Parts: sequence; C-alpha cells; structure tokens
Amino acid sequence: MSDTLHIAISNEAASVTVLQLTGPLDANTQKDLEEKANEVIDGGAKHIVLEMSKVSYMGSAGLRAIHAITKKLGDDSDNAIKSDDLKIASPSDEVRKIFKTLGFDTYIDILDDLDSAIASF
Amino acid sequence: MLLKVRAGLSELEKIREFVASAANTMAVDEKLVGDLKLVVDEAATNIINHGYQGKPGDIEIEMRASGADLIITLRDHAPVFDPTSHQVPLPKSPAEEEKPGGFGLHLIRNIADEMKHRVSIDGGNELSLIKYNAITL
Repeated sequence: MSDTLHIAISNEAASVTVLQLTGPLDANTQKDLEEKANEVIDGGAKHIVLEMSKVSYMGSAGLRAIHAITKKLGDDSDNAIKSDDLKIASPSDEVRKIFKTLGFDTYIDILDDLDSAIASF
Repeated sequence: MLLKVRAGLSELEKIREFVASAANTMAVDEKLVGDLKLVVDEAATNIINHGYQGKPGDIEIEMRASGADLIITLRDHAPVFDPTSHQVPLPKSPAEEEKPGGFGLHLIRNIADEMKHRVSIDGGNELSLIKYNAITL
C-alpha cells in the first residue's frame, strides 16, 4: 500500500471546492492535507468538501488536519458549536467511527455522498 | 511477532501493515484488525511526536497471544512517560486537545481493554495494550 496521500482538487459548484483524498490520512500525511487546503483557501475557496471514500486509513491526526482547515476557513472552532464551511463526504465505516468516537460528528456534517455534501452549503 | 523501526512518521504505514499481517498470522478476529491498527498507530505517533520529539530513536512492536487475549507491546527509549497515569477527558469542544496526544490516548483507551506501562531494565518505556478474546480459536 502507498504511504502517500493523493489529493485531487475540483470545483464542483460555483462556490464549493472538493478535495478528493486517496490513501492514508495519518500523522505522516496530515501536513500534506493542511498545505493543500491552505493553498485552495488562499486561492479564494470558501466552502470545502473532503471526499473520503478512498481514504484507506484515518487516525486522530486526520481530525487535527480537519480542525486546522476549519480554523483557516474562518470557523473559529475554539468556541464554535458547528463548522459550516467544511463538510465530509462518503467516509468508510471505520473513518466514520473515528469522527464519532472523538465527538467530531456533532461538529462537522458527514454526508453519505458527494452530491449531498455539495448541496448542503 | 516483532517489528523494529526507526522512530519516524514515514514508518507508520509499515507499522500498520505489520499489525495487520501479524494479526492475520495469529488468527486474530478480523473485525478487530482496523481497531488494532488504529491503537498501534496512535501509540507510535505519540512516541514519535511527544516521546522522541523529532529526535532519532527506535520503536519495537511485539504482538503475542496470552490464551485468547492479544498483547501488543511497544518499546522505546524516549524519556519515561506513563500514559496510563494521565487523565485525558475528551475535550468539551472536539476542536482542541487539552493535552498533546490526547485524542490518540482517548482512542487507545476506547479500544484497548487494558493498558499497562513500565520502565524497562534499560530505562526505556514499555507500553502494553491488551485486547481480551481477540484470538479466534
């Protein structure tokens, strides 16, 4: 298995940028996701969907990266109850379980498919 | 089954593959393999980031059976740290870890049935994570 995280960027709707992730999202690849997200946010992205159906593994480092992205998007999450600018699409059951165990499922919308995630903004 | 790696984040994939492969060889319940990869990855990440703090080092991971129980032991030579003595409540807001590595420890405690730490004879850390009835007999 590859130990790199591949990130494909597409603009699926006028104001929604989709980052499709392929590979492991761990402490080794956390910075790759944060850097790529920073680039698109600096380029003007306001709403981001992380499409996670091809994420082979995610640990707590993935949630740290996701939190960093929500902060960068302007949802200052230290006090925010919910992030409105970042949505998660189609995670595997294992990945979904990590969100739930660490309480992130109440903080970020997790949608079953990409279209619903794009339509949810 | 034993794996020795240098303490680097780029070794995490190899560590997870070792856990999956050893679990398969040891007839561990396949439904547990994802959780076991997670706990070992989180424990190793904490050793690399918070134990060695980026300095060179080594990590040894051993998986063995004790009856139907699985014992996973991680050994390192970072400064002594006993994660079992630290309270890590889940932060009120999921956004902030109150202590570095707290999310990882929370996941480990959520999955492992027992967690034991001791200082080894040579002064290193020995962390054992135990999962009851993990071996299918």
